[in-house]
Amino acid sequence: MLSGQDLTLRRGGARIVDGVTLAVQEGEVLGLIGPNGSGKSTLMRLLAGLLRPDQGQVTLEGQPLAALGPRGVARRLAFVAQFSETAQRLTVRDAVELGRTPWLDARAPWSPQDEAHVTHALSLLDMAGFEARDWASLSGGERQRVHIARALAQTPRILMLDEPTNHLDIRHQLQVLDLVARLPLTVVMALHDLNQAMRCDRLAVMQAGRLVALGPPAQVLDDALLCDVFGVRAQRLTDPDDGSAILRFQPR
Amino acid sequence: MSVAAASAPLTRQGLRAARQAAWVTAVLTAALLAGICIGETPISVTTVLQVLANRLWGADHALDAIEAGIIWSYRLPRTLVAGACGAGLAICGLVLQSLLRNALADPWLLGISAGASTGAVLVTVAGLGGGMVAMSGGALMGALTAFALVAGLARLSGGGPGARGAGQIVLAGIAGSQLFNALTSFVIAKSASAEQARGLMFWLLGNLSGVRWPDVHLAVPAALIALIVVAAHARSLDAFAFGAESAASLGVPVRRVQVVLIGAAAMAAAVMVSITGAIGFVGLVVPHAARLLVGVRHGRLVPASALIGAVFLIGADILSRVLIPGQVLPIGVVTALVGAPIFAVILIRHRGAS
Ligand SMILES: Nc1ncnc2c1ncn2[C@@H]1O[C@H](COP(=O)(O)OP(=O)(O)OP(=O)(O)O)[C@@H](O)[C@H]1O
Ligand SMILES: [Mg+2]
Repeated sequence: MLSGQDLTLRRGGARIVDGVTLAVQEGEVLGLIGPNGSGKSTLMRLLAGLLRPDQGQVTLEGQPLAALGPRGVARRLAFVAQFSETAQRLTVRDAVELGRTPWLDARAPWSPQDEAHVTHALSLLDMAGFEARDWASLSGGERQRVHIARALAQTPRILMLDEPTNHLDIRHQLQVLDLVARLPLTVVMALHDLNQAMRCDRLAVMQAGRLVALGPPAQVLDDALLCDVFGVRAQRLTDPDDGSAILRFQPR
Repeated sequence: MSVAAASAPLTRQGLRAARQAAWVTAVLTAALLAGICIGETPISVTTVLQVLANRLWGADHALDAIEAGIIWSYRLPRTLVAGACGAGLAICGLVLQSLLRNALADPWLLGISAGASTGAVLVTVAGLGGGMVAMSGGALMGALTAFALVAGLARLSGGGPGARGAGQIVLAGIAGSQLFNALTSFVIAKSASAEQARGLMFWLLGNLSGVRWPDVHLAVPAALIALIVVAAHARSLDAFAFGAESAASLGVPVRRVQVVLIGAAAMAAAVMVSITGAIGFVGLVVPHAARLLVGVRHGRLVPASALIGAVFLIGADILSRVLIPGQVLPIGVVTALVGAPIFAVILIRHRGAS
């Protein structure tokens, strides 16, 4: 589906992504975890074609990103950055309509279908009542939800979210995680909450630019890795309702 | 049912487009007529229409030859160039504001007009022909050099989107303007003969006196080309709202769009400067006024800015001719009198937002 071979990016003499090889499988939710500065956002930018690797290559549906072109990539893959702001007086609806950009040109002007995609995306993120609101008047979490709605309006097959639950209250955190699990999409998302990461299909763990583990959460998040990569000890509790594991952390 | 549903919005769109076209034509015609009629010698609309009929359709109205001469060789080309120049500078300012994500961007403030002046003067003095096209070419080189220098300086000094970046690029623009204005003064003082020199004030402040038909044939196509190129990229410009990376993730070929649009904007500014000198504040003020009227989406913002720019500069030209009886002010004086206070308001509002 989406894969990177031997991706390396150097900045200022350091390798901030260092020889990462990763294949995202169709329909899975892949969580990207790792400490601050470990290269998660940079790896996502490489995979989304927003940065060009110094070494290695990214392929999307079997084709190199360069062969697809920016529009071709944007029709298949939507990316929500960790921070993204504007000083323009856009409304919420304006912002979500931007998601239709890769599908529009002189021969395909704005249509009722585009309208429907935008309305649907807004309702999925609980933002239907906010359409006329000014961007500047939104709270941080509302902005985050508008960004995700914009990405969904892009009708991609792959959704890449950099810390999507940042800024969100607990109900909307759960809502967004449920939503991405439920939608028939391939999802790659960077996360910091390891209990949320447990709900992903697979986890990729970054440390100092390297991919140090890749696999199902229960396998990846073992004591040695938690201690080595994150510097914490974990206790495993069991949810009496459904028997799922809950991690509780202490400093090492 | 599906046919009706599909064709209904189409006809509605067609109607809206027709209504807008009628609007634009009416406003533009009114502004042009005002620009021709009002002046030291007021001329009636009937006379103007009769002269136009004589010239354009070979009608045969009996007219005063002097009046007809004023209208055809003096006021009409002057008003047309004012309109084209206003539209071109407004589009240039809009493109810079959207691509740099900076509310204070303007070809004059960023030193682009000053660079264009230097380029035009250099070409004239070097004897590469004082022809308008050669001068415009020199102005374009100067404009692009100035933009590269100012953008580079702003970047090195930590500029970027946001309030601080906005400040940095204006500071860099001041440095650029000063440098290129000094170069212009230097070149004129050192080597220009009296006939070659249009005078320093012309290049620094902008002036529409002396505009003739050949200038119209350059200014109007330049404004139209800039308008068409930029309007064709309206959606790409929208996509820059959240920055270049966000635009790239929406499938916009960022580098190519930047090159094409900055090129078109610099071309428009350079042609206008080579004809009228550096007129300030139009590119800053007009896009903000247009946003207040039609919102931030470029599909409407681009044509609205062009129209408002044309009307604004035609109005400023009229003012420059009637403000002091018996004397014509340089048009740049009028635009600065209007523009500087508005610049101050934007500066204060911008601070409040950050
Ligand atoms: N242009 C650059 N020049 C130098 N260093 C950079 C550059 N871009 C990123 N870095 C560094 O690369 C490292 C990885 O950055 P990245 O944003 O990918 O981390 P991250 O895993 O997303 O962190 P976080 O959890 O804080 O979001 C950081 O140490 C950062 O400082
Ligand atoms: Mg990050």
